Amino acid sequence: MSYLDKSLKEIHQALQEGKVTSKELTEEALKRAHEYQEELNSFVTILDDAKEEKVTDNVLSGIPCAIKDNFSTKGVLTTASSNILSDYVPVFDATAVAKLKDAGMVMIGKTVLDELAMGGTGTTGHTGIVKNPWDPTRMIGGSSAGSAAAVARGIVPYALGSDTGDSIRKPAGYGGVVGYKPTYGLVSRWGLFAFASSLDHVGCFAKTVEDAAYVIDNIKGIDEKDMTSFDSSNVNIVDNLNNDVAGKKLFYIKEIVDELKEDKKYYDNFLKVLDYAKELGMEVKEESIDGNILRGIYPSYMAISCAEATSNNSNLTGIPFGNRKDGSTPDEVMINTRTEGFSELIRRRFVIGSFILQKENQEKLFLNAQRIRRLIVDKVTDLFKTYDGCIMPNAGSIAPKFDEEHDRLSDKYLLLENHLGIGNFGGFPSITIPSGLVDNMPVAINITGPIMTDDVVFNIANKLEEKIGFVPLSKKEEK
Amino acid sequence: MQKITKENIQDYALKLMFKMKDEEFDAFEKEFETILKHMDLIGQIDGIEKVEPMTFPFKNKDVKLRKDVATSTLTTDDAVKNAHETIYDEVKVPKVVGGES
Amino acid sequence: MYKVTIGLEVHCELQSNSKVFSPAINGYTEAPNSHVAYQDLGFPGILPVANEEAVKRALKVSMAMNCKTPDEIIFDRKNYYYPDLPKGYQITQMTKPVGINGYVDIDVNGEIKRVDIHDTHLEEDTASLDHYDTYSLIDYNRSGIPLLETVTEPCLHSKEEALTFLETYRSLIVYCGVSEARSDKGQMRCDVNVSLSETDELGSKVEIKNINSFYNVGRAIDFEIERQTEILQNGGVVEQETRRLDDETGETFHMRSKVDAVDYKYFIEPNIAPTPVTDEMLEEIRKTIPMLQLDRKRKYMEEYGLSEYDSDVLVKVKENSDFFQECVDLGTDPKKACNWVTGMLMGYLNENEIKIEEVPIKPIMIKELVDLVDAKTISSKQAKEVFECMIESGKEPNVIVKEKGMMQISDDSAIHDIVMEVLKENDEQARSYNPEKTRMIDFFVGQVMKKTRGKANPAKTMEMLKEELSKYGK
Repeated sequence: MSYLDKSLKEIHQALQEGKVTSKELTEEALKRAHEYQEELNSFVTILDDAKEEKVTDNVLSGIPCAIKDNFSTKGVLTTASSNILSDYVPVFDATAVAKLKDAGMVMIGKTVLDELAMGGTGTTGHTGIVKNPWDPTRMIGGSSAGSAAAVARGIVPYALGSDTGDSIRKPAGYGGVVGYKPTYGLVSRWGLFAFASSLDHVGCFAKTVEDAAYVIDNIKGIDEKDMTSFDSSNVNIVDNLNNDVAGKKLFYIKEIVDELKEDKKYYDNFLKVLDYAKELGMEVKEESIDGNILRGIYPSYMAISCAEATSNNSNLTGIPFGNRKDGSTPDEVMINTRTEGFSELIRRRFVIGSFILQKENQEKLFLNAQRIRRLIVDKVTDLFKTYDGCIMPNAGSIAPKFDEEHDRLSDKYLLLENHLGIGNFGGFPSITIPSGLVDNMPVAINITGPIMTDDVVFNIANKLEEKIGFVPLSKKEEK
Repeated sequence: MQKITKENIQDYALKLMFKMKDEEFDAFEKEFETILKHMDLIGQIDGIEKVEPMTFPFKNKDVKLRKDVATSTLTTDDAVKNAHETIYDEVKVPKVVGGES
Repeated sequence: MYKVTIGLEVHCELQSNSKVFSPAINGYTEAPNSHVAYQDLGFPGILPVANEEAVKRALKVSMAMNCKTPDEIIFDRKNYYYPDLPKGYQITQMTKPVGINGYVDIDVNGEIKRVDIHDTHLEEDTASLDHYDTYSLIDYNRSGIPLLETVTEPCLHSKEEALTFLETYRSLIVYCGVSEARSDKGQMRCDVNVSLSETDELGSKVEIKNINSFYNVGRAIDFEIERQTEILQNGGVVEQETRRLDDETGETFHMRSKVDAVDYKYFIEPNIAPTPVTDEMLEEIRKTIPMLQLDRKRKYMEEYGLSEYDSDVLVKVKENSDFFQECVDLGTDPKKACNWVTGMLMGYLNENEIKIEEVPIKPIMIKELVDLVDAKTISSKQAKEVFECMIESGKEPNVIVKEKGMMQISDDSAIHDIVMEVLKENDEQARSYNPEKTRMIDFFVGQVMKKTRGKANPAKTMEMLKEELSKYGK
């Protein structure tokens, strides 16, 4: 087994002992990136000139990683998988990237996302669709598609992603890897291309909970460039991974889990995880939340995210930067740039967002969506007074085939496929870990906890992960 | 609330500085109708109008205004590096006539 | 005649070290795109961080205008597309401005009028455009400079009232020390709403946008009153619209109609977490708000009995008024202090085209000078000489008087000693003193002056000689 497939701690040890070098790891990661690029299309840019880094006491030093292509990287093309930014080379680093650089990471590539991170399929990036390494006829999900696929395939041990509705956790579940979205503000958003600022989170993919913990511990921290970041110096994730979880209390939301019951394979997998939790000494209870409010998550998410996105992406006009198209007036320049620069889906979302924000619609659409957001967050926050976390099935199924379409008016879709948005609404820390296989494809569970208890969420996930004993694709094939 | 027609959609699109093709309207209408249906349901939730809209996920107790110190390190070269065309370190656009500011 | 109603929206750049949401320099430079940060060009991934000083300065003006302040600082986005707006939205305040429902009193020809303030809010300036024949160039140096926009209620009813408000507002800004508020430097810009009506109901609102000087505000108002009067007199209807002023001709022209009004789709800026506005913070700011122009003028006239003319001269420049006030606070008679400040001091400043901060004079010196004259230590003629020396050298009046040997000897015992000395030396003449012979007393005065090199107070000397001579040798 290559050192690249081991845990970060093991790789770090091997680096320190001289059993492998940063250069060898980097070369191996680059080789794999190229090897799987045709099949998976994980990368917008593969950095062939990536240089090894000095090995220090930091676990991440000298180890390769991949960064979603909506993180500003100084001197490295950053496209957000959109034609409108196909030539944009940022002049500054995102805080998360800068912190990883300080830790000594080796960035080997920028990964494909759904255009401007607005999508959940991994099929709308300007460089083509991203495929699921477990079964290339299936999607990996999005929007952090390339990062999910690259970690699932074992190209890199970890990758940065961003999560606005479930953009890290959904693809993590479909790819059989760990996906983490921290408390809002734990990790600075400076340099993350904004999709919906009040919902956007920086997070990561890794093969294990422990690996993800090392990444988050390195990138978290208050940032004077992000007014929504907070001081988390008292949160130490790695240090608390192995605490005893006996006595912790978890709940699941009845109305959502009920939708899973019709499909026994999935339901059984979830029940099994609940059993593990109980075996670990945790209490698990069922809680009820008004179905009308739960069914409001998806439309409120759409309304809020489209509205914020319309505004956030108004900077993409081709004027001070971006892929400018010609025109005889500034308006024409902007219109031509934006018409050619955005795909149809993006333009549609922008029109929806704009409509929602119109003066005469704001009350009924935008503000009502923000009201639903509060109702849900208040309800869940209230439950968190009793519970340490909420445990849920990550999705309603394994990764869909490319031509599968959801019925967006069905309860199954509204509840089971969109509940992860609760984590974004309330800024709750939320982790997705693989929970087994159904039809030879990974399925996953999600644990979401009260704000600023990222260490507890990690701790619970780490303990459950041990019990579940899931074998990631990259290791599975080695055997 | 406004009605959705091809004309006003094209109008919204132009106000957002892009054009939509005719064949794009069907997909738009479908997607939008779904959302509107859902939003209608939300509007029917009892007492929804009394709930205070939420922008920030939670109250950030560490929030601080920035001290008034000029610390930007962005150089002129880097500032205009990504611009399509520049003259004398300024970003060039076709002549601006009338308008907003 | 139609009733004219005018409302104003005044934008004023605030002084600070850095911009309102970015750490770029807020200051003038010739070099384009050199005072910029990532935020000012709207690069993907940027986040705004609000400048504490800009917020405090905005709150200061808000409180000086008697506005209600918010419980927390938040901002909103105003969304529109224009080449000078790199983010595609301007960060401004709509939901909770730094001030609402305030007022500013203005003095229109001796009549006090209260101008209601709808709100005042902090926002960012746009980039500036330089226009050439076939293209325009964008300089982002101005992008992100803090702007304070103050909106009056439509409560002004003449050009004179509007202009008086603008002058008063400018002085308020300058008195608060938050901006130079110079329209010649583009630091102040105005939107003006003018409507005419025969009844108490407001007529159609015509907005003239982006006027760059108070003079032009006056021209725009004149032109609009004339234009709208003509329309109404001919039985027409004034269209609700936005217009612009042609600086060359002084005429306004159509920009856009109401139907084309832009929907700015305001919503709360999610990246600026709310900062609480505490009572302590407000109290600290309140302490820094000085007494304003009109209040000072009233005080000078009512408490100090100064003339309106002198009061106006004193309050025109805050620093001069501060100087005067300090003289008074030190115990100087207000009228005497006023004479020195408005006379010699401001004369000197005007002549040399300098500001009071640039001369080494301190209020305590005026107080000393006045005291010296009051005590008859020096004559008022000498005092002028002392003043001239003082303003050039920064030396204290007492020191100057000593150095120049100007001091009159007024000390009774000192003069008495000399008088006795002179009498003894001229014993014979003294004994034969005859009060009828005035030439004799002149002789003795001359002797005393000779001994004191002219510094003995002549009146006192005379008095004392007469007394001593009358009893000499008896």
